[in-house]
Amino acid sequence: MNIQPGSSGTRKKTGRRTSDHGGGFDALCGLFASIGQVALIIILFGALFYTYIKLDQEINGADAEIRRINEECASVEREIAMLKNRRDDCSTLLYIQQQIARFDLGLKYVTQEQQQDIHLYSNAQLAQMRRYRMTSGQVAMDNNRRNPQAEIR
Amino acid sequence: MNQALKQIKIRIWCLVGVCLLFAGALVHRFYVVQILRHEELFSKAQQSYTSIHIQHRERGKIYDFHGNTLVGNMPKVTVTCSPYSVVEEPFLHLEKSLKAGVRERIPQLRESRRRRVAAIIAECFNLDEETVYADLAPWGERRNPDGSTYRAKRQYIMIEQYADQQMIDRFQQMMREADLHMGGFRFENIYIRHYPHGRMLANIIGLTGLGGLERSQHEILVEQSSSETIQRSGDGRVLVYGDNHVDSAGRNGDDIYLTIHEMIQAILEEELDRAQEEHQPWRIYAVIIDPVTGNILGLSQRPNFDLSDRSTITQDNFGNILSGNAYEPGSVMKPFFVAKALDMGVITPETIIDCGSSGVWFGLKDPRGYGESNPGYILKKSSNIGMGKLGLMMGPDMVLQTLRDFRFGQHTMPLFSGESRGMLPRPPLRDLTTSRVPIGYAEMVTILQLARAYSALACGGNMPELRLLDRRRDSETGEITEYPYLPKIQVFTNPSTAPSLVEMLISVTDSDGTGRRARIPGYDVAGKTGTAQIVQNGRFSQWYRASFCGFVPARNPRVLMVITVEGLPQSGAHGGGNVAAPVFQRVMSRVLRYLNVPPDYPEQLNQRH
Repeated sequence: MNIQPGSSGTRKKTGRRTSDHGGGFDALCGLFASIGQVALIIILFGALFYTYIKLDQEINGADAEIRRINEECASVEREIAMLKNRRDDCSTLLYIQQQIARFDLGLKYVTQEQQQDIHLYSNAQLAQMRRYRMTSGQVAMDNNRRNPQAEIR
Repeated sequence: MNQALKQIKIRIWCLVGVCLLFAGALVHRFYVVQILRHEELFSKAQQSYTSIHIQHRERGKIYDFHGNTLVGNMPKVTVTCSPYSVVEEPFLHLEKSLKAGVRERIPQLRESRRRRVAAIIAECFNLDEETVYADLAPWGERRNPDGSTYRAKRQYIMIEQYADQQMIDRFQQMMREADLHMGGFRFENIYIRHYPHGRMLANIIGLTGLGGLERSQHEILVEQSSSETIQRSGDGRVLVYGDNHVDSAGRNGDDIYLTIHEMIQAILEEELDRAQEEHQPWRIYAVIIDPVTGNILGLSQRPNFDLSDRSTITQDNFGNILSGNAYEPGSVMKPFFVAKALDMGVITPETIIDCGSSGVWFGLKDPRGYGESNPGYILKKSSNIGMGKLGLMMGPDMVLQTLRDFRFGQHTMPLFSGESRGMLPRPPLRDLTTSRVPIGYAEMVTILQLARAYSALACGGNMPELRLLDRRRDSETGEITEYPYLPKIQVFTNPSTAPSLVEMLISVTDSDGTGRRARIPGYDVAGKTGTAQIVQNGRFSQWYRASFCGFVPARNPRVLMVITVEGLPQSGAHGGGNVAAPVFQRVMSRVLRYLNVPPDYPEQLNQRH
């Protein structure tokens, strides 16, 4: 046999060279890979964008809720102020006298002989009274009280 | 072939030229908008989506000593609207509609909306419907500087300045039920002053910025509104990432507590009303104080006005006459000169002064001749002749010094603008004046000066400073700051002067004294009546001024009251003992019960203690 160096009777089989059918598949795979990469990037950005939008909505919603609650608090405070004003109106001597006259309760001011008082003082009121009486020089009167929480005269 | 290529090239270059032209115009526009006019357009854009939200805060409240509200704040709502936004804007998008018949119906729709909104506003805010309808006109005329007019949108009308929350809720509900959009309406929360007691302390409290404590304590009471810059999107939502910031946090005004006791004040108001109705005087002044501390427990005047109803304000009743009016006090001044004469050793309690038998001396008159009298009897009977002679015994210098020592002619409290210092006679005094000053003529004093001076008589010569403000509360921290008690001034040098004088003043309210109608069962009352003839046009008139100054219990005083009733006709009751003393007795009886002051003589009351 005439064997030439560097050559053999056989051919090396490569994908490309094997046939046209093998080269197209590779191209397709490459295309899909490229598309996949692009899609991955788009999905990634899309996810980030979606997260941003979602968080922004949440923040806006929370902010709106905070403002709504603050407005509600302000509204309740105003209502409390109105109720306090109503309480002040109803506790004036003039209003009480009008109600006494309106319902004909027949109440009248006590005379000196009729008066008997029971006072239950809170600690804050006691402190205020002591402060007032000390400046008025009435401390000695307090010393005779046996029970500062209740007085009967 | 070459021709064709050439034509193609020309067309391409033309196209390029057009594109370059277009691009050039774009770049130029970009340059003008973003660079040249950037500041102007940016600020305009910012104005359209930036708004400043102001939240009103509460003015400081005024309380009495125990924390009862004298002046509070009432929340209200100011309702305004933009007629153009209410009537025109809802239909702007319909003008671009291409549907058949839509654009022709727009005027009719506008008219219908305007009518319905006007009806709802009129019903909710108690307004005349036709007036509201006219106010909702979306277009109006404005005038150019040259006098010509042009058509302009009407963007602002006031519907209700002080609306209640119930009105607002009802309005919003009715608008919803009528399927009407609330766009164009603006609701601003405000506070207005609330006076639960009406006329009580009206002249002392005053109106905001117009006098009284509201004016003098304005720096303490004034609130600071909070201001917030907010940026909104086109649909009105707040931009979270916008330049939102608080410009000023704002704060409520500080509260002040007076030394006034609401119940004592109410008692005083009631009795002054009764006296006003009974005697119909021109004016009444009254003040109740704690003589030991100088705290003012109650003060009132007639005429006065209703703080919650400005229609009751007149020129005569608005001013604070308690500190602003000085007058000749009459016989209530006598104790000061007796006290000074005792203190300086000019007289003793046993000194005899001849008041004559005729009841007339040197132009001075007594109801009858009191003959030889000691100082106590002179005060008891309020002898003008006795006091005139005492004045001459003291001499003009000592007489003037007495007035200065008891601090007449000096301010009492730096709280009220326009406070009168009164008037003292100018030295050198003639004998006539020297004899008149001790009986309360030739000097002018205010009721607050009288109260302060009588405190010295009540408390062994220790004269306190009058106090109306007790403490202040910081609205932010809640911290309470007390106003200090200022040092007292000792008026007497002799410690026996005050007790002697108190005994003399107790005798005034004896059964045969001029102040017998001021007696209170169970208590020793020390006091002095005064009846002064009012000077009009330089002459003594037929009108009188009746006064009573007293303190109870006499030897351990808890309350002191001065009352002056001015403008009593000679034909009716006009004496201090007939007019002022009974008012003192009624007021002090109730005040003593309120303060639970134990009586000096419980057996007189059959009361258990």
